[in-house]
Amino acid sequence: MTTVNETEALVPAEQAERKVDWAWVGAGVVLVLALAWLTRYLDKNVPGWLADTSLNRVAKSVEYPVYAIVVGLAGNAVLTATGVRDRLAPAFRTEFFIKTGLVLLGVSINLSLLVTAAGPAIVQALLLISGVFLFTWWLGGKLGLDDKLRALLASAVSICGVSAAIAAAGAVRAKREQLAYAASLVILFALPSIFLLPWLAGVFGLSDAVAGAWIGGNIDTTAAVTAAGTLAGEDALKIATIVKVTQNALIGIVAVALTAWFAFKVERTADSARPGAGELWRRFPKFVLGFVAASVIGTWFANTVSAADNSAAQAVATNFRTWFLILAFVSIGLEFRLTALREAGWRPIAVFASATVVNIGLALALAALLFADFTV
Amino acid sequence: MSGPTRISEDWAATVVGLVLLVLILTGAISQGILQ
Repeated sequence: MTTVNETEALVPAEQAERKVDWAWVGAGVVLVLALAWLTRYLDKNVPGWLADTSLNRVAKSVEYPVYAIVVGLAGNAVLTATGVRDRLAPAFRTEFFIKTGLVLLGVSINLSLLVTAAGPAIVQALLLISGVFLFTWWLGGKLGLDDKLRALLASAVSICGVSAAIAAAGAVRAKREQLAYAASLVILFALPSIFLLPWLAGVFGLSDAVAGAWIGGNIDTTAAVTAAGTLAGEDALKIATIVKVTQNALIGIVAVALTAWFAFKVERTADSARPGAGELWRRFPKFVLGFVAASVIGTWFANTVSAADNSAAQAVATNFRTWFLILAFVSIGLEFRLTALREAGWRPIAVFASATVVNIGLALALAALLFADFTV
Repeated sequence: MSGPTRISEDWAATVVGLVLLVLILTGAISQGILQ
């Protein structure tokens, strides 16, 4: 049976009702691929073009999701003006692209790290994620945000940004505009953090381990963690990466928890029956299983082959993952509808900004407490 | 979008992702293909 919530999930209603014309879909696929290629081209070349200007450092830290969304939005404007966007829209498979990218992300997670080097990282991740998630959820409720957007923002700010927002969007069946909104906020807030946190670590006189744990626990995109960790030094980068990967590994657990929470609490009306295991399975975002399977395969591979062979394979997997995520963000840009954001207003920004401040404070306290005597 | 469509997209992503992974780890796909 199809409920109202399912019909709304992640797709504009008018698109679902439109008949698919395969020639237009083919044209749409070519368009998405061409825009993805353009994104990749800009990502590779813009820093070089701006190398001698004052925008040099900003250009280096801007990541491909920004170019992809901008390119997608530009395409969106052209297609809307020419009146062909809705015919091409079935080719904009945001969910498929992004979920495939996330399955590929799984292979970069070495589960053996979780049972050996990452004791304090696990404690930090669990405390930080629960603390920041619950704060964001509470504040979102106070400001009257939609429950699905609350779940997306809380996951994005507490775990690992865009990836977590996608997993949460699958679990709670959020709308695409909500996902695009959450992703834009993550990217917007990650940019200044790349420079701010290493600088503050220096001002506070933090050790490499504490600085790394702070950066890894706080910045929401893995690439930005790497950039900030690099600015703070090699040892800080190692710790930052361990902390970040530990948080990433918890995406699956949070997806299961959110699925259950929404099924049992948020979307359950007073007179409806208690949802059974079948209902939970139906709601569960199945690609999370692919993510976990990829982590198991990746861990086995890393412990079986030489370090050189492993990093060569990881590089190819990362490259594919980047391509899929570029396709996804281009699609998000192409499908973006401003009206959905106008309804949301300023409140999500206030929630995200407040949650980021809490995240920075709590991450610093936990890093100082748990990593004070930690050596790389 | 109906429930079954969403589920098939989830499974499609899982299958495509894992197949790509196997091809990468067995060396059937190398870095050159993406350059």
